[in-house]
Amino acid sequence: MIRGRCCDSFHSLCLTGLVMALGFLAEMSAGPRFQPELFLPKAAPAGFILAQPPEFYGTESEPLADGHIFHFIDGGGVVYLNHGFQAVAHIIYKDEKANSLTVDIYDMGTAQNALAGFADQAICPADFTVISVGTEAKAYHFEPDFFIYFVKGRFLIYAHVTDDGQSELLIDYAKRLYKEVP
Amino acid sequence: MICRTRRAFSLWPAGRLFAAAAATLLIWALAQGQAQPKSKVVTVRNSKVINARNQVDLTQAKAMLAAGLEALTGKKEAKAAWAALGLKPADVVGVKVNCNNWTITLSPPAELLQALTDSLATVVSANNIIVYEASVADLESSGFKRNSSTSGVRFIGCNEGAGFDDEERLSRIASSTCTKLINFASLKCVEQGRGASLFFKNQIGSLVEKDMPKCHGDMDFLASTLAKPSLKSKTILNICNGLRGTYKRGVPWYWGGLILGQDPVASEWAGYQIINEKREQEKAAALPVPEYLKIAESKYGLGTCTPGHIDWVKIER
Repeated sequence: MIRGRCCDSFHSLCLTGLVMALGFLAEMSAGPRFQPELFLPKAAPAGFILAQPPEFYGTESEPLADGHIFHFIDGGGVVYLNHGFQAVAHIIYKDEKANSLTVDIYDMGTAQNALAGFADQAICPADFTVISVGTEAKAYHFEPDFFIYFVKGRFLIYAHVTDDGQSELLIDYAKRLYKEVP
Repeated sequence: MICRTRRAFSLWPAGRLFAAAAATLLIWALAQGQAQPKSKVVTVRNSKVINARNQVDLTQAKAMLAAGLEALTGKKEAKAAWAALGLKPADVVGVKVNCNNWTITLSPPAELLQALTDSLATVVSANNIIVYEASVADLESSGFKRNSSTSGVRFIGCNEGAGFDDEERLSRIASSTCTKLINFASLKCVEQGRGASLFFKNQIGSLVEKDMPKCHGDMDFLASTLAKPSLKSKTILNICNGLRGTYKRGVPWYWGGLILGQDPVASEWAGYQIINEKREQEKAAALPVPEYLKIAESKYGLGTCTPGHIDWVKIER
């Protein structure tokens, strides 16, 4: 939705780009901090549209627009906090058959934290198969669900489809996310 | 003869003492039995209720619920069973569901929720049934449409108009609006020292937001949740959706069953046993009986997690 408004005119696009760039630079100079609007996937998966506006959750001390981690996954959030969790963007797409494709991008603060989370069976259970999405990913098939975890930089990324018939589509989308997420 | 008589006579005081002690013990045991009747927990399983695509059969779900209520109350008809649990036609009954979509969706299937609300509607009007969660967004993310109208079953969030009771630090849906409550949990293993997320953690969603995180590390606080006067006095049934649950964190299986009980501690204990049965099959270490259940029994008197005090009725359909 934000991008749609930005595209209304060339000037607004330039202005928005400038503000975002300045904001990004300011954040870089202040140290890494989650800027969800910069990391959202650039496009929906083929055949899917956004089911609702993306949601953003931070920590209890630094909540984001939709609150903090416990609003998102209740007590399950503790394990992410143990690995330095800072924020998460939660994006849900739906197709015409009401199948869901969910993407959660967790900012774990550092690449080391993200890898530690990736290795933690409380986040990524042991029952995975290894696939490649540009990097090594853990894939889970619990009929009818199929989901993937992988790491890019300081981000731990989760992508899930409710219909395992769309597994290949999800893997392709994860490959795109791997390229897009900074 | 004389000798035997004299001997018997000499033993008489000891025999009388023994008999008196035995009688005292018997009376004490009977009194204990009367004072502490066993907590009944019913589990109903049916392999036809859910398939491997996570699709639920409404007819089978209704039959399972009916069988569970009958086993729990001894009443065959739903109306009589609910009456035995204390539900009256004028009641407003709140159903606290657990809408959880982290990794694997464990929210109650719509068919199972319908089975419950249809059954309740044999006693109360549909609009006097309130399905609620911590927030409207939680309900909607699980496919339930918000309804606060005067028609049909209501679906609302604690974050809406009713607000929170300052004294109990509890949603007014539970403390004021509803006269009876049903704790409708999901069979969910979270591990990480917190075991499973069942009836106790389900009611975290009824608390004021600031208190929710306390439940994650403070076992006494978690145990005390169900001791809040409104939750303790109004809850007429604890029911757990175990059609699909998790036996390890984020790892699901189709157990195809329900847990029903009036004692939340005993019902939660049964949930742990069910998860542990699966964990044993999968060669995972058993979850111990958690500290909060022991506290709930010993400190708050909410029920029992002592196996000998639980009457577990298992129904396989």
